[in-house]
Amino acid sequence: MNSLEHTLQQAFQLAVPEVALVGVACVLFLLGTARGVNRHLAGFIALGGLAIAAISHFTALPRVPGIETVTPLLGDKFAMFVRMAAFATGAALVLFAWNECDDRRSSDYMACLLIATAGSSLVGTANDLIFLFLALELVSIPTYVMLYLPGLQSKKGQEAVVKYFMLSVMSSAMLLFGFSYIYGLTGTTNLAAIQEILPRLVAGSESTTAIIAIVFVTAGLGFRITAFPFHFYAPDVYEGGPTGTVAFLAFVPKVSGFAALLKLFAFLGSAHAVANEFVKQAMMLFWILSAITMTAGNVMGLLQNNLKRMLAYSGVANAGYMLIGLAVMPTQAYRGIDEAVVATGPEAIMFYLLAYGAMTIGTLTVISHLHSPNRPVETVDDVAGLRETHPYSAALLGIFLLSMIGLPLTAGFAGKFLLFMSALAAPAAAPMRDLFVALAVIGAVNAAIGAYYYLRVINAMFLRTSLSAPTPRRTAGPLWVTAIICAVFTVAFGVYPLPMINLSRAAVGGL
Amino acid sequence: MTDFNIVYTLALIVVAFGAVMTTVGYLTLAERKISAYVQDRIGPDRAGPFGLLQPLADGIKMFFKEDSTPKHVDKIFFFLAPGIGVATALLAFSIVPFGPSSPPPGPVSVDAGRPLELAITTHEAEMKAYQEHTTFAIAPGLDIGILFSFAIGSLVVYGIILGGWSANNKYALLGSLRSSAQIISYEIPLGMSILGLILFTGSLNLEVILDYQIKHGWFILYQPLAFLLFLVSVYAECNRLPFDLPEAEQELVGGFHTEFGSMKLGLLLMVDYIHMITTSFFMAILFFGGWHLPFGLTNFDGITGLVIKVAVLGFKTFIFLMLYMLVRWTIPRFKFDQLMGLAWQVMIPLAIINLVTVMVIREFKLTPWILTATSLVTFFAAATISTRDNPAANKKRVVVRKPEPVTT
Amino acid sequence: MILADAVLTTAGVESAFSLADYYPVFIFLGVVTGFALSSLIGSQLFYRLGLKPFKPTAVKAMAYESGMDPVGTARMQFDVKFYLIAILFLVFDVELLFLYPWSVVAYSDGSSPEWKQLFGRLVFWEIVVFMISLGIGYIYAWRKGVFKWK
Repeated sequence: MNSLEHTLQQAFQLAVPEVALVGVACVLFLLGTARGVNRHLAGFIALGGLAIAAISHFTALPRVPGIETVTPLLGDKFAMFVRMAAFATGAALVLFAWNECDDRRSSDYMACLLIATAGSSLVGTANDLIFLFLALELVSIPTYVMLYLPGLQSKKGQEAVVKYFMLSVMSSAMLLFGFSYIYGLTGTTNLAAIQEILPRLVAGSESTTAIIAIVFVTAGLGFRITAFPFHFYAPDVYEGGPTGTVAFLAFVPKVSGFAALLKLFAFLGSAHAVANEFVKQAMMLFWILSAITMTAGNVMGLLQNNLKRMLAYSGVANAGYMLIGLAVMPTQAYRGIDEAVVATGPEAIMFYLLAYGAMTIGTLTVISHLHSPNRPVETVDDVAGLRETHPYSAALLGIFLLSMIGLPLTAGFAGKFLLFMSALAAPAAAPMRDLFVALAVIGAVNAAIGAYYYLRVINAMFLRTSLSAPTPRRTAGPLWVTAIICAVFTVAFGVYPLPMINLSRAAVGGL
Repeated sequence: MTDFNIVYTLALIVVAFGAVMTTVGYLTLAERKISAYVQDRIGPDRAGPFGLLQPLADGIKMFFKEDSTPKHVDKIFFFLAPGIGVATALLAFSIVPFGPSSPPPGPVSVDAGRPLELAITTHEAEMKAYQEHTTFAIAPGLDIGILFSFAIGSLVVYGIILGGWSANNKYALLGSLRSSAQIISYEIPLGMSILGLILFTGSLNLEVILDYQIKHGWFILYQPLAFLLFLVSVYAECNRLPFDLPEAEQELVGGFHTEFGSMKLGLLLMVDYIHMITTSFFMAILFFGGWHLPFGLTNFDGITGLVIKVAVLGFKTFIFLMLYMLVRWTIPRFKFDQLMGLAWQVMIPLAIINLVTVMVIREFKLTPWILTATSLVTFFAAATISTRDNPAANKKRVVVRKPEPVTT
Repeated sequence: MILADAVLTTAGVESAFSLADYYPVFIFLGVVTGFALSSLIGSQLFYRLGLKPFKPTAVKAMAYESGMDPVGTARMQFDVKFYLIAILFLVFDVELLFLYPWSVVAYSDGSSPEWKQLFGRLVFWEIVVFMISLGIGYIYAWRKGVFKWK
């Protein structure tokens, strides 16, 4: 039964949830051209689509695993983790963006959101370079439309769209260039096969070419995760873009970017025996990237007065923390089999991704709720005295910001703890062990720097008085649902993180 | 086919090139004569008997007129555009078999009854036979066949766009814009109408397509709708009336070639005629069986067969060329919105319907005669829909009031 | 006479790709380029030989606008519709690019019977889905008014 043909036919089964999502998106697109469709109908259809996708995920899962080195799609635990994360995020963002667009454009927006969700879910499933690239593009391309659709009155909004479009296209080109090198080296586009072949090649004379490939792939994906030299678009796009799309941009590209990085570079974890020199170089690359990214993000974040710009730099800093997990990944190979650790790098990344998603989307939800054209909520001063005027919003925003700082009992703390521990727990035999301890220290220092600007906002909310109270929109039901879900996640992961850690461990176990 | 005879190829190129150029010359004469008869004039009759030397005179005139280059033009592209146009149009002709042909051999299957060695021998024998027959295409046996011709033929649009843009003239710019929009729009039904044939023949090679028709009957019988789509699309691709908006004389002077003169204009005018010849060959070969006539009328061998087959194909092509001329004086020019509407709202849906029908018939192994019926039904249904009284349009109709009588 | 290399594919023995098939195209390309360039250059050369007149005037050097002095420049903005048509063309042309290889292989004897048996019907339905998704895009564009030139 485990034949070539069987495997290929099974690949269709694996994509059923995503196909369902895209199908519902098509319905939404067509519906958008009909008269009398309002945003509530579009929103409910989008939620229905996500529900169908989630249900079909459980019903259409193939029973027999296919041949890994043949199938273009792989239904392992990692894929399922990413898929569930994507669907949950999709649902949260549908609620977030419920009132983002007017009735005429809402169904187009929701359709784009569904397609992007399908794309980010496919990133986890992809087992082929081409498929991976298509999935990443499926996330990017609807984003351009989503940045544009909610109405482009301002110059800043237009700047955001154009900037994001241009840089995103360039990053895709770099990614493809890197992929072409990988394909040239290994002669296959199948990821499982690449994981087998590449470690053997990099031991020999192909090491330089492989480094070029890795640098370009990291550059292309670095744009999506807003790693340091590729983060320049983030502040402007966050500031000018519609808040619902910004929440999407803050989280979904990071998930797909890190999922792709983990999938592509999983071989680093087991390659030391044959490719010591190469693995060291790759480790160094991620080490530098991580250290610079978090430092740059936090230092720039200090200078910001605009809340969304601040969140953009906070996103950069958080990408830096998560890169720690990637940098320490190669040290796994030096660890004994039964040697227990708090968390390995990839596990910590998966956990922190979810924690970061909950707190960022939550923060943006509250800002979006408070914002109105007459009384904009854009700078730190705009939220002054929020405790008195909007105590519930202030409490929610407080929870999210405390989690961003990384205070105990929040998801942010648990995630940062796992990441730093993964660096500290690098086995003694691993090369550059001292450097990883240094990386953990840099991370801790950065967390302290970051605390300052988050605390500024909390200070403004709770200790200052307001000159004029924000005038939130009346129709904010869906936003509140999103915010409360995010808050529950943030607190629950912080208080009792064990189930989530186990899930992350199971997810990356197969890589 | 590693066998490549340079002398034969060169001879063929000379013959084909000469024939095409002569035909282009006499097409201009035919065009003028037919226009004259339609308009109850005599037409050119001074140069030679019945004006037969007129093309020659035109050519000499083109060469010896002043070649005025306006000051504002983009010199390089202004100079190159006519060359690009004519070179690509001619190059598209290189795969057309303008005489009898035989298909290149297909794969020889290897099975229990035929071991590998035997299959190789058979294949070699077939190849040998194929290479020894007299070919009439400049480049025979190209796998991509008609796709090559479409690809190269649509490069002509670069000549037009560059010409119109580099002339730095509003008429020229508008003409080239219209032309590019028109050519790319009609490219799609053109390509789609052919897909139905390819599904039957399994090859893009014109010789194979022709051979299939000899064995199974002409495609016009099975796919009249595809033929109609192809016909209309190539008229648009050639910028011929009723689709000659790019050079609509009454509104755009000369369209994209307003600023060109002398030989540059001559080359640009040649492009359309070369295209007409190529596409007429295509229509004859793709849908009307090329050199083949039913009831064994072309079953001759040797030199007699050769002459008869060339004559039959030539005659079919001639008919299509004359059709081009007659349509010019029968159907008035479209408006631009009608032109785009025809391509996008009529021809593309029809092409898709046609393709889906062919697909279903091939998949479920039905008789191709069903296609004839569905083609006709689809066509008449589309015609009924498009010609019925449109209530929405009536509602918007402007009521013209009579002017108030002027009282003094 | 050199015979072509033969290759064994899933369908049987057939001739391998050979660039020699394209030599005539290259030669013809040379001939037509030569023809185009020589007529253009020859037309220019005739000045030097004094065979044709060359009398540029200020009026001849102007852009022709039916006898009026030209107004403004011809490098102007034009309707966004042209861009929309270009984008739609890209969509449909890429779709054609996908359909051409399929249409050649689908029902020809150029593919092996075993694969046809296993995947033939599957590919058929895939193409149906492809056409449906194309149709959805087409209807969307129609409803959004891309084809209206008013």
